[in-house]
Amino acid sequence: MCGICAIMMDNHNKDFPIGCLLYKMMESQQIRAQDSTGVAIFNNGENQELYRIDYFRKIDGMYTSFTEKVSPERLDKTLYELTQNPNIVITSVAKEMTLLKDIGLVRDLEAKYKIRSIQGTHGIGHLRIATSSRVTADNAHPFSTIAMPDIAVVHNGEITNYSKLRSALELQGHRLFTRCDSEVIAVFIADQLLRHGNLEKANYELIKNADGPFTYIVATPDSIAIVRDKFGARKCIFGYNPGSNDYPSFWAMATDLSALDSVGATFHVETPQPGKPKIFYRDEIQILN
Amino acid sequence: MNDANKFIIRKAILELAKTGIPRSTSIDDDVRNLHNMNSKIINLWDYVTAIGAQLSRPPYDPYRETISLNISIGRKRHKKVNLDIPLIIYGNTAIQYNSIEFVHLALNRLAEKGNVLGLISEIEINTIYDGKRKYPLFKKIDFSNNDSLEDYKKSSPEGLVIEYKDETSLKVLQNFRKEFDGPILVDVSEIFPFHIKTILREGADGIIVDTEKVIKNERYKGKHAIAVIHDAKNAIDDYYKGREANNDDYDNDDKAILVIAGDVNSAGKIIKAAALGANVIGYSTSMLIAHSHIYSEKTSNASSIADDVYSHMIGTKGEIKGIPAALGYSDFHNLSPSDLRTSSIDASLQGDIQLEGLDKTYKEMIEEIIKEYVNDKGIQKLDSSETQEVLRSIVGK
Amino acid sequence: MPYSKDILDLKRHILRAAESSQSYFDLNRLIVDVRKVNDSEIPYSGLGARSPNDYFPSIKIIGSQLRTKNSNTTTYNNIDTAFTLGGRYSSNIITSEVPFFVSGMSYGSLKLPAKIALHLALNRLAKDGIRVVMNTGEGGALPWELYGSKESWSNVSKKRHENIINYADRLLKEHGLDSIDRDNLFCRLYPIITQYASGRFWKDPSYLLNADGIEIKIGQGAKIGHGGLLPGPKVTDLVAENRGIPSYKAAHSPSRHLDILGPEDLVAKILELREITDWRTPIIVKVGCSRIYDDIEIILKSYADAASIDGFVGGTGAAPWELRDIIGINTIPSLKPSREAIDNYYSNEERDEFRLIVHGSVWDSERIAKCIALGANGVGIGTGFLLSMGCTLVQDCYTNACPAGLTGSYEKLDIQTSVNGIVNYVKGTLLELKNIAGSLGRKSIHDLRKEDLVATDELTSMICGLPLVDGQTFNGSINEVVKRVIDKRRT
Repeated sequence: MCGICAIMMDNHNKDFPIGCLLYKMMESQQIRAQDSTGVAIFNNGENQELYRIDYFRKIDGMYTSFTEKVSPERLDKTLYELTQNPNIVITSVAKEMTLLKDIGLVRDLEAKYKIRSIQGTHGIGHLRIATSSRVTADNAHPFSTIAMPDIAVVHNGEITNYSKLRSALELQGHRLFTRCDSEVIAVFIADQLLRHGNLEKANYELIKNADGPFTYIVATPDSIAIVRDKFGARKCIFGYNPGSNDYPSFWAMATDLSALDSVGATFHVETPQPGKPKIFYRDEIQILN
Repeated sequence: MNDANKFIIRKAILELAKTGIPRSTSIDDDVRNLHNMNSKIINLWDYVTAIGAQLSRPPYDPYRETISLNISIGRKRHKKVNLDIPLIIYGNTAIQYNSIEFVHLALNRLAEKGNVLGLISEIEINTIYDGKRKYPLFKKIDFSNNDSLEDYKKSSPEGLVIEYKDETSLKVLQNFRKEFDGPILVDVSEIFPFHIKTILREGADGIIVDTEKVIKNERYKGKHAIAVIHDAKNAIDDYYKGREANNDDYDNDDKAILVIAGDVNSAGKIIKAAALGANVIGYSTSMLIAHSHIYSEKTSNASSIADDVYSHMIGTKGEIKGIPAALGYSDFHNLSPSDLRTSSIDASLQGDIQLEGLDKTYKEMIEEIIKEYVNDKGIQKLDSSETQEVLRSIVGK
Repeated sequence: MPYSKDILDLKRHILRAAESSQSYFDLNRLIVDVRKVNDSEIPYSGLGARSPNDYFPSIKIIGSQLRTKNSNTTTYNNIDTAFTLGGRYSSNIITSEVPFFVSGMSYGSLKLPAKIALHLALNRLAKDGIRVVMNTGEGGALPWELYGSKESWSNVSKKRHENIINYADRLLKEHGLDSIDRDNLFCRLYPIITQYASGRFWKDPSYLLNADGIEIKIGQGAKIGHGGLLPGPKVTDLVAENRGIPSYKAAHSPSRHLDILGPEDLVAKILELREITDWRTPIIVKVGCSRIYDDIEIILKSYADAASIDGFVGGTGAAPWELRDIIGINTIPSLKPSREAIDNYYSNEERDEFRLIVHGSVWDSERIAKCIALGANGVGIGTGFLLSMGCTLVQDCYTNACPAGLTGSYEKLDIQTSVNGIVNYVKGTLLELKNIAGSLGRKSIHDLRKEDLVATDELTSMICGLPLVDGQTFNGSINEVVKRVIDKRRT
């Protein structure tokens, strides 16, 4: 699998259409993968009071997306009802996140959802070439979970012991909707966050428990973590765009250098160390001067 | 290539190579006739294989990447025992007395080179052989002696093994659990598959199942080690099922282990047993190799016999590192049942193993066909007892 | 046998100890344990795995015959048995008159006389109008395989020319084959496929440019997830020179292409090879059978012309014994998912450009026919060719002590007899294939369909989707039981 990318704006800047940046980066990596596309963008100021549930309904083998907005009191009940239907795949439960995904190229996603105009403080994007699960809309990235709202994961590589992790999570009562190994990352991180709330620790736990060559980016409402497996088998780099007078500064992460180039994030280019999560926080000043 | 088939294959091709004239029967005809004549002796292990890593996941390379075999035995709160290789030497009593000295020497040598593995023994390890013991010892408790913990502490074992026989064994477990700071493994072969939840609740750090003993029980008559391992793994999972994610009691470290002994005597079987759910393998081949020297005409000294056992263990270590790597794992303990496939319906039923080429177990196949039929005909779904009935009448035949 | 007396002694003792202790022990595997005692290395073995159930005997072709009344010839002369490969992305197409070919066996794992016998036999067959494709295996190809035509020399500098001829001379001299006619030898009339494997055992671009096809070997059935392996004693100076590796050191290829980690890397690699060969040469990707549907799906997306799959029983020169016997699924069960993956990919268009080639436990015409009927386009045979040269199946290919002189003790091999054996094997198999197709009333061997087959047991019926001998299907018999249960519900 795939090409991944992410953007984290400096200083809680939420007025810039980062969908546009993600679009540029994804388009420059399109050659890597053509099966499906998806983005998750955070803090765009929408639906702060209501929870937004996105789901696919499978009808005659076709997936159609639906959205439901519910109040916090009704959230559990609605989720319970939805999970009872075997033809429904819940893609996200969100308060501050917009998660959009479908099969096809990035320009197909743009045509459908106008992702270029979406504003936010940070976001992640994904292009998929399928390795082990089928090419359907529900298997597209980013993956999220119903275990906790506002968490999204994009993943490049394979979690080889995914069935072991999956059965361990299911044993604890978590619900997984697809056969895709990447969903396990989202649920695992959510499970860890529910226990101790520390994103760094959660990522270390996953590195310890997951096997195989992988790189993934996990986004929460206030941070983005970028993680490589302990052997560093899969590449991933990040860089900084210092901005200019009328252009904001931001961090960008991607699989290919060309993607960083396409958004001008060519300063302080580095790769995260294998087995060590690199975390960017929304409210932290990332770089001085 | 089956040994019996080799002859047929060779004869057929040689015939063609000699004459170039079409034959009257094919290899398959001949093999079929042969099978009709001979009743096959079946060992289900041979029908189980693992699926390797190719394009959809890359294999690791044991020469270029570290493949981990480590395991730590012991749940929370108590002292743990760490093994570098997930094997515990576990010989039956008949061969233990004669060969324990050589195995002791070999284990010490292995431990010196960073290959710590365990030993389960009933016998006092006499330290005069080679100074100090450098590997963890699991002392097996002999009920007939009615000994107290103090007696067992003499040989300062790192762990204890209790053979569970009846209610009194539970008392023994409770007593020892209070006093002993280290892993306690309980051999449940006699009472398998019952009481496992109770045993784990009382604080056992793992259970030992000797498959050979279990298949002698009436309940497992005609079944294979595959079924025993599968059931043992399920019994442990049952104990952990439904525990809340944020329960303090639950932690990844709090994992009781499953030790499988009996009928697991080659690297291939170790991998298959581990994939079915075993965490540690009770391995007796080394004991056997040490023992075999008693029959040797030439007089060997203890050191050279220990060398033989050492060599064997190093070779086995290479194998059990290489196979997980080829399956795409950098850790031996990441093997899972989904890595196995079988070419036998019996194996699929006994161990819930997926059939090769179908990627579903035999049971799942049947359930799917039932579902399809019911949907087609538009009749009411079969309830679980009816599904069971269908399964029984198909499997029974 | 290559085992020393000590080892066999020890084996005997362990056997006795096992009996006396009354513990169960797999006697077949005893030699594995003993060998580990001997040298603390991982024991190797040759050829394919021991599969207790390879499904082939459980499949019958209804109403086919191997032999017709006049056994020397066939009454079905017009049956089409041709096999083509390429054309999906490549401009060249490999054509062969038979739907089977020699699968990859390198110089190094096979000794030179055996390789020469194969070369001469395929040349003779080509003169008779039967071209058989040969795969050169993971080691570098031999000089006469790469430079077997006048054109292939055209771009070669004088110095290189001398080096190549010099190397060929030394090869022949070392194996006592100096008397071989060079003009006859440096003439290749059959197509070759070179293997692009993780070891990268080739020294100059002619290995890619002069080949009629390139096979990217991801894995092979005997050692899935494990790289190619040639034990040290077999890496003689000349083998080492051919491969560009140190001599008498075991050649361990990496278990994966170090630059192919996932599907996108495979795409990049194939495009690179396409550019090198000017989009002329057909490219095949070979995988061992494991997660076969996923693997074929990836190959389909990656600009390859064909996929080559290698089943559990697929042979090899040397593989870790236990690894060979535990990893992989059989050839027959992997055929259906492979075909499904291809059919799903082409579900919207009627195109027949992608080829599926099957290896592993295929030795004779009937097995070839069964594979084709189940969806294969071509079949690779390795052990079958060795058997026709006199292989005894003792599986000691990893040593230098082959009793037939194929993978060791090469002095024992008589090239002329071997050439005759191979020619007869190919011709005989071809006649049988024509008889099978002809007796079923088909015009082409590729017209064989699933409908021509029945299964003799339930599992084979499920795995291949075939009816059982009595006309029942697996689904049908279950449906009956369900019906009975439901009827009971009503009463």
